[in-house]
Amino acid sequence: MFKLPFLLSKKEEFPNQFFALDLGGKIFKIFLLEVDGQSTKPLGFRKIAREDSLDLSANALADAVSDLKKDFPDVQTTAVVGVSGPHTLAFTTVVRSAVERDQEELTSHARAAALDSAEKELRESLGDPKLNVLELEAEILEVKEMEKLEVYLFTSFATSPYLDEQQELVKRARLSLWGFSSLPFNLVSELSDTSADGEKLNTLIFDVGGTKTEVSLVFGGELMETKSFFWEFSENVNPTVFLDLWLGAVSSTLGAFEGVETFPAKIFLSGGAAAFPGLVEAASSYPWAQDHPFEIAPEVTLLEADRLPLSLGQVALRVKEINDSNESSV
Amino acid sequence: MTAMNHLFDLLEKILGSESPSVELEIPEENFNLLAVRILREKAKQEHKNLTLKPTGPRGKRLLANAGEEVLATPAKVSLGGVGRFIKVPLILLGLLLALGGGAYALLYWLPQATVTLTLSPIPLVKEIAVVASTEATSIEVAAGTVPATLRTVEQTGEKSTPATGTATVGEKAKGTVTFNSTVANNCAQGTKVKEDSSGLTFLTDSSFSISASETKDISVTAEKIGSDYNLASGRHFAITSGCDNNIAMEGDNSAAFTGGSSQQVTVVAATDQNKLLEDLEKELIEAAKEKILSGAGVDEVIVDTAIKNEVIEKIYSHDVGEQAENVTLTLKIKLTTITYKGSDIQELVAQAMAELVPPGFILFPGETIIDPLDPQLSEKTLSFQAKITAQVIPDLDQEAIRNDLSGRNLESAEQYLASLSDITAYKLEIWPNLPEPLRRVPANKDRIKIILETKED
Repeated sequence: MFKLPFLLSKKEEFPNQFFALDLGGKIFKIFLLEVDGQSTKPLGFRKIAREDSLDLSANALADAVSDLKKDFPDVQTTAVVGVSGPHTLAFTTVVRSAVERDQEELTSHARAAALDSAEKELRESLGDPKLNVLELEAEILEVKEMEKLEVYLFTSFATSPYLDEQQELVKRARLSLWGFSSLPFNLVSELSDTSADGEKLNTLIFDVGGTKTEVSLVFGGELMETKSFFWEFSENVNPTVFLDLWLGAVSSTLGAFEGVETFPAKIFLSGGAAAFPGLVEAASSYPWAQDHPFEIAPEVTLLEADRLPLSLGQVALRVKEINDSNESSV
Repeated sequence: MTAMNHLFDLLEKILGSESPSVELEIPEENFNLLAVRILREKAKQEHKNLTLKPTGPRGKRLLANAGEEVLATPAKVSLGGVGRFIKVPLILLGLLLALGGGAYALLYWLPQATVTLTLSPIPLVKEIAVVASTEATSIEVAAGTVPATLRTVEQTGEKSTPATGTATVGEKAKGTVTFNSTVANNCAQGTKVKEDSSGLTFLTDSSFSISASETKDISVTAEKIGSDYNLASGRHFAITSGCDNNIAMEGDNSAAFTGGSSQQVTVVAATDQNKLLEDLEKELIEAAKEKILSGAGVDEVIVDTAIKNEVIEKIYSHDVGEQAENVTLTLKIKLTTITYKGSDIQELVAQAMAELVPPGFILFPGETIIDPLDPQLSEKTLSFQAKITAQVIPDLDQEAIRNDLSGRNLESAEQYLASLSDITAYKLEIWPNLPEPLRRVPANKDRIKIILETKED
């Protein structure tokens, strides 16, 4: 795997212990992670409800972080923030050179094209033609040198207002923001790493958050694309109607993925609201193959509740891998 | 449900609509292009004609973005006709006429103006007594009554838990003590005999009499279970109670005592039963609530704090203290509540609040919150104090504003809006976005949309 300079743009060394934050629409999850060889492990965590205003939420987050730090007084304040949902995009672009180009030139061209595409899509999706969109990550997943050079480039993006809010929360919690990282990308990395049979991961991931649902399409162990819609999970509804309409919305989302010949026959459910009563059963029995190209009825598996935020440990592993490979090449 | 779950609310409206046409307003926040697609697909599935209307600039752009795909197709078709100009002039003439008529129709029907008027609301809070009655057939404002439905659900379940109590069980040691007495003595059954060195007590199995200087073998049984009572032979015993003259008696055993044993076993504790009941009852109540919700209509309101729970049947597999590894509870509960329609309470509230609205003002639609306080459930009624939080706004003559605005150029329209006394701010958006000198409010007043919003000072 090749890495772009993005991950090395930070001059400070990535610490062994760091905060991983998933600041969701309803719940803030704060984990203190420690790098342990080729994996990371949680040392402690706090979960708090998002408050009605940014001020109250920031105060609550600051209190939770401060409380967590009491158990680990010597820990550094570095924080990685996971992003997902309708204000973000993550996708893999396959770029083939039509003429002879070197990898760097091809990658640079692909990154610019990906940013243009993300900017257009997020602006159209959110109805704001002046929305500022920022690149968060860019990583070369694979390079194939056949007749023509072929580069698999993963990129993630988010809108400025969304990032500003997250940044403000981190700042008010007196943490030092190391960077943002796509939550579905990290989850895919972790699921691929822990795949027992060694086969490349082909799956759909439904990240069922408290206020949004995000569908990720994964082929060959790589996150191809994400699509999201706003949806608040509430207990105070008729659950049968609620789940029926939600499943219909997810099904329409699958229809929005263009050019998919066959969907993977596996669906992972992640996110806190995946525990909504009856959701797993309803998703398992939904006739996905009726309207979409599945070869067989997909197998639905519920991931552990904190698997998504914990996957942010992958960021540290990637950074350390790059540092190690750079040191050995010097 | 908070105001945030727009997509669910809109989908529910499509689902619940009895009309073949559904008109929905696109919210400005927490809504994206994918949501528009989801709504369209749902409407198609339900065989409904869906009209989406924006409530602000963002929604307008979303709809325009969604519509671009649709508009792209006719544009491609029209390009194909250019090469046929000389061969089919009549067709072209017809086409030009059609285009001219179309252009006129477009100028009249296509332009759209959205006027957002910001008003300073007056908050209104009132509590009214509400009775949701199963005997009522219509809304009675004076009595605060709305029709209601009694809903009863029974739920049965079974749950097991490992037993956590412990108890000691076993056998008592037995043996024979040879007694002698210095005086004639009568001893009752159960006379207490204490061994000197261990202090352990044994009880005689039967009553007996003994003469002075006589020796007699008496069977005894340990006071408690346990192997500690298996005493070796040659021990010395004294009487502590039970004989006419306890001091005059003593004895020893020529053979060891045997048969005493004890062991720890798991038994059902009272806390096991209590926790089992608490957990299973909670599970069954949740399941029963879901059953009620499933049976009720979409518009039906259930007051969560007004649900009566009765335990009808409660059977434990083992009693407290009974030896068992697990204890199982079979429980049957009955949940009873009274539900009412959300639309009925809204109507009741609207009528009850009407008298509080000052002349020249109206209730601002969609901003009324009803909170049922202190609900009391009885056999046929659910009574509560409804705390109503509403906003009243100046009653603007929207039709007159549309008439006054139609056909004005941008400058004139803005001057007119600035002159309106009841509003605190305004926003005027005209589509299509032509250069300013060409921009006019549509002459067709049906294409002028007025949106009222409130902003507290």
